[in-house]
Amino acid sequence: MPVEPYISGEGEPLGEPQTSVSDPHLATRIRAGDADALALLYDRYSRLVYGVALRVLRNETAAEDVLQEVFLRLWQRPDCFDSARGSLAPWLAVIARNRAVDRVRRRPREDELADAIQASEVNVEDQVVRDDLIAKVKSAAQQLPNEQWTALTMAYFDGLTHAQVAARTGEPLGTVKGRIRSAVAALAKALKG
Amino acid sequence: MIENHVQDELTAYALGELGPNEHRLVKTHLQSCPECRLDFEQLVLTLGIFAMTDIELTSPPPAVRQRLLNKIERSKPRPLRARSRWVPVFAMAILAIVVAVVGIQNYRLRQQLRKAETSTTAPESVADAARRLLLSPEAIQVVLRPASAKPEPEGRAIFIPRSTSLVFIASDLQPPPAGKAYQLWLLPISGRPISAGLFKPDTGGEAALINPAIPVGVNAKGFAVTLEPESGSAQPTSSILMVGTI
Repeated sequence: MPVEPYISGEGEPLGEPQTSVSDPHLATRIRAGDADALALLYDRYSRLVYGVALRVLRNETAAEDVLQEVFLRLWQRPDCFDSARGSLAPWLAVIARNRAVDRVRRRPREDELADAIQASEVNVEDQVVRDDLIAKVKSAAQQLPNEQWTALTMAYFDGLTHAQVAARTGEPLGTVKGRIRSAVAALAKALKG
Repeated sequence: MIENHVQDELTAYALGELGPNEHRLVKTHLQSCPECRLDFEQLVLTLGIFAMTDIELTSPPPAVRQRLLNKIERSKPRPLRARSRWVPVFAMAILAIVVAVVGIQNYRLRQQLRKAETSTTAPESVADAARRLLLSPEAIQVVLRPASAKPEPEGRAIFIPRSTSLVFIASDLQPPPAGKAYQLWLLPISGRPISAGLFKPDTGGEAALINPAIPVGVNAKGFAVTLEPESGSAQPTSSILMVGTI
């Protein structure tokens, strides 16, 4: 199976060339029942969604299931799209992560954020913009205090509940919650800056 | 928590850490609080980008794409022809709407019908045309529901495919902001949306469009409503508020 580093020297495109149809336009077409539009969106973001699911689940079959679930959800609930907005990439990444974590925790499907898909106004489809944002967040993550970084990655990528993070690190639950919140706040601040 | 804002809970909400009750409370709050919604959008952007910092872009097996497309194909809306046998049922429902809406409740529609009946420019009065459409066995009704999670507004488009006969009735609409009006769009099977008229709700939140000017012969697959400048737009410029497909 081809595996490509997300951040390469040349910058990997998320999917289609920049000249292709925008996410909001595809969203409008999906609302109107256009299956070709969903296929285009899949071609654009399947590697991202699959990559996130694989990162959390470390199992190809399970990650494939998550990939299919995420795009099937887009098809079945097109009214969730805020189609006047920009890229769907960040939202898809978060939904993929949450779906994957649901599987790790063996809990039923969350009533997740799909009721209000928030397409980012930031043009994440643009390779230069995207690479800049990723670099900012990556740099901010590297500068996080170790205990914040550990709590965040355990919760975000390993799918541990806050209580499980507390148990593993031996810290009070409130402390863990605070660390995760502070870590995310620091990343958000870096993104704005 | 909810009486004020939910910023403190947003991270846990976005990560799926809240219990069902808290989750629902935050979700409800976000629907009505632009300030927290902005914070949430920023949070989703942050978490989404964070996910991208530590993954490898990996191509899934092609079979996954095919499985997905097969599933989608099976859940596609039925084609127009397949719906035609339901038309008599729809015609009865439409007749009921005529009685209920025109006869009892929809002041706006009655007003427009009266206004239309006094018109001397049309060879056939708009009211007669509307009545003929509503009673036609060929007429198909499309229910438009809010594109957002808010359940209140509802629109009904009743039309005869490939003709210019169209009645659109909406209820429970919010007054549009100053300088704005709602615009109805016909979504053709192929091509860009076609404007089917501007409208503003009356004080009761109701509105109607009767035989707006639309091109002859367009094969519609649905209708949508957006908020546009009062003068109307050539193409939608804002997010879809209501949408319905055949």
